Amino acid sequence: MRKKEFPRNLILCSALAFFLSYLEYYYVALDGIPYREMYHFGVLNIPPYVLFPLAPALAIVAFSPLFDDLLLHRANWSERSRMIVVGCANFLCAVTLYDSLYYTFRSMFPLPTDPLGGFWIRRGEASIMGVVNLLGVLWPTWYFVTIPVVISVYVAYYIS
Amino acid sequence: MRHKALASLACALFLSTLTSAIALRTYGLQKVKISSFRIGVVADEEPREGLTHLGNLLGHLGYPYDMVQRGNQALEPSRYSLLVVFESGLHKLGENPSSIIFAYVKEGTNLLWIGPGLGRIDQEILAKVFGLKFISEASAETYRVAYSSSNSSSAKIFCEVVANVELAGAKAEGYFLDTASRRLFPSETCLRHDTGEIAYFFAYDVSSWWNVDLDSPWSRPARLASAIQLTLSDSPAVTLRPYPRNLASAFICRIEDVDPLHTGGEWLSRAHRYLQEYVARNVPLSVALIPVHVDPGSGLEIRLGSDSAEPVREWLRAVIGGRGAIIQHGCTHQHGAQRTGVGAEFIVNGTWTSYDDQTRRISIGKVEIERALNTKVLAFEAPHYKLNEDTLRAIEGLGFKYLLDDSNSPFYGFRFSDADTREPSLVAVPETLSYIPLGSSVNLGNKLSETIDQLLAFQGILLLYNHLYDDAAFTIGLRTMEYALKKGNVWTPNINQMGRFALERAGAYKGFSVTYGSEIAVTMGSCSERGLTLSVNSQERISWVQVNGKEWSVFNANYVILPELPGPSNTVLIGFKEQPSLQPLSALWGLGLLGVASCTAFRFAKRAFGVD
Repeated sequence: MRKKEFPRNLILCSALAFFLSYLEYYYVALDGIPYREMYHFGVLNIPPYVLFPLAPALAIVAFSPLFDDLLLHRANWSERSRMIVVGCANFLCAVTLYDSLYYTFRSMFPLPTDPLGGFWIRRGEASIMGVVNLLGVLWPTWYFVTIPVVISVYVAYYIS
Repeated sequence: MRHKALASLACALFLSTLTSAIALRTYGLQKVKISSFRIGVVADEEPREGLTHLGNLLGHLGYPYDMVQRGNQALEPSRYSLLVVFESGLHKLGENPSSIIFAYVKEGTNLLWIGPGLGRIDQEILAKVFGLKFISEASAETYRVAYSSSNSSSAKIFCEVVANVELAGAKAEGYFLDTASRRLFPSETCLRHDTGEIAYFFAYDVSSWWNVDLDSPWSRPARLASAIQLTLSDSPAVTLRPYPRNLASAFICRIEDVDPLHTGGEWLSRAHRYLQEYVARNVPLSVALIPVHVDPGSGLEIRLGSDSAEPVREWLRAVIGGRGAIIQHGCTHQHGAQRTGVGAEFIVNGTWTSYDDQTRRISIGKVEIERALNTKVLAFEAPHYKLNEDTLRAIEGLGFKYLLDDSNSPFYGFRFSDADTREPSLVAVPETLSYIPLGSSVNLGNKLSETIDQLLAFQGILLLYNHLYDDAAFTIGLRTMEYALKKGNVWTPNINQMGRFALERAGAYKGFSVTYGSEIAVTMGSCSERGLTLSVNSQERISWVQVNGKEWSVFNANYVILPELPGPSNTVLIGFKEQPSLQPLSALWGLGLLGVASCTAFRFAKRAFGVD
């Protein structure tokens, strides 16, 4: 992966995460109530549309440099393994950003018809891993895994 | 070594969280007294308008209620939070109804007495329970009673029996007035007992004579709903709200008597402008459509599908495109030699036409509309609201689900094809705001605004119908809609959306029961519509909610908006205190996870990028 591709891909992933969460909160609604709030989700308490197609879409963008190199046969195996690691980090970053932006929109710029408008994440909305109460604010537990992983990979990539 | 230490720390955190959760779950539970919230109606079950109105009101406002049956059930005072008593039902309370009523109050039941018959209660008990002394009862004319006036409204009194009582501890909530507005004697009283129970008394039958007073058609249901609310104000009550997403009412505008001859430029231009204004505010129109226009005198017959009806078809398609719906309004809206719109279709000279004839006519009309507009018609309105059992059978058989009716009620009602299963087959949606006559003045708009306020106070439906005869009708129809929207919290469905929600809600309400202890448990039937709302009257704020055992987050301090309820019986658990087993993980646990994930990921990433 060439150095210039990394920031470009990261910006692309972040923009897509922003676009998807914006779309979900403001436009995927049932009579003014966001779809995510009105459904009981079966698999791991994650909305089905996140499992497909949102997560695969983010993954495609996150791993696009890898796909690019695979198609053009540009990189060797060691280079590809580095791209996989960076791709994973970008994907985790995009998913975390997408999820947190949804709650940011809701708490800071809520839909007037949203009964949970103004609220950050509630306990019942967390995935199966639950939430952590840090400084009086609830945070999805999985953020505590994805954020350090993403930062560690970026730091290692930068110093390499 | 460092990694082993981190792994040990993570294990220790996990084990401590698990142990504390189990401990809290085991020792945190306390035994509490379980009670139920239910309203009992003591009345003779013979069909009577007042009782039907009361049943519709309780059902619409989402109170769980049942008719008190004669026998042991009546002697079980703790079963009901409120007893609504009519004189006609006193025999159900046994040989000595006075002592039974006294026993109910002593056990903590609130009481609401409707109408005359108080003289049958022992005077001593009457004073203790209602704080009243009975004087006499007779027709309203005898006492020169013309109105009942309370703080908020005034209800006209008709040729009905009223009770004359004196206050003996109770507080008067309203007084009877004569035609010169002179105060006569109490029409409504309320006694709050030291132990908290409330006994409310109406000296006239507030459940009858609805929509008869043209000046204030809904003052009686407003008074009744307000009295029920007051009597239950101190009880932990849960109601199933009549509209989705905690909305207070529904506004529907029906364009009336549109037929294939509505092709005049003036009317069509007005109709297009009206539609534009409504669509701009995201309010759909529901159109009562007569599919065939006939004038036997001139031999004229124009069908909706004919070429000449294209302009009106175009408008109707625009209505449907603007989230609107079509209501079939008979087939020709006439009979015999009459022109369309002049007479009722199913009754001729006082004689109802046969079931077969009605079915044939309705079927022809339905096919005509569905073919011309390529849409399914689910709502029906009988011409001049004249329909009988055969009409209802015919429309049920033809697949209609919603009926526009003039039931003198501000609440939607149901028709049950099978009385045993109580499975609703038709939803009846009443008109509540009446219509805009030709040449109306702006004063009508003001009156409609007052009626909207009255209906909103007790969650009645706001259904206006408009022929769009002239520009005044255009302006008043628009202003009325804007006034309703300005109130906020008003739902704007088309008739099909309203009917579908009412049917689904009826499914949930069928199994509706409420029990409360430290938490409130609500049992409900199935409902495929999302957004059903439970309103909770409690001193405390809702802290957590579980729907069918799974945590649910769409709630606020005093209401819960529900998801789809798939099973035949669904349980909603509402808690007010933090549940120990549902506490979030501690910050220590989160920071531990953060540390472990950082170390592991950084080590792995360094290796992947070849960093020393």
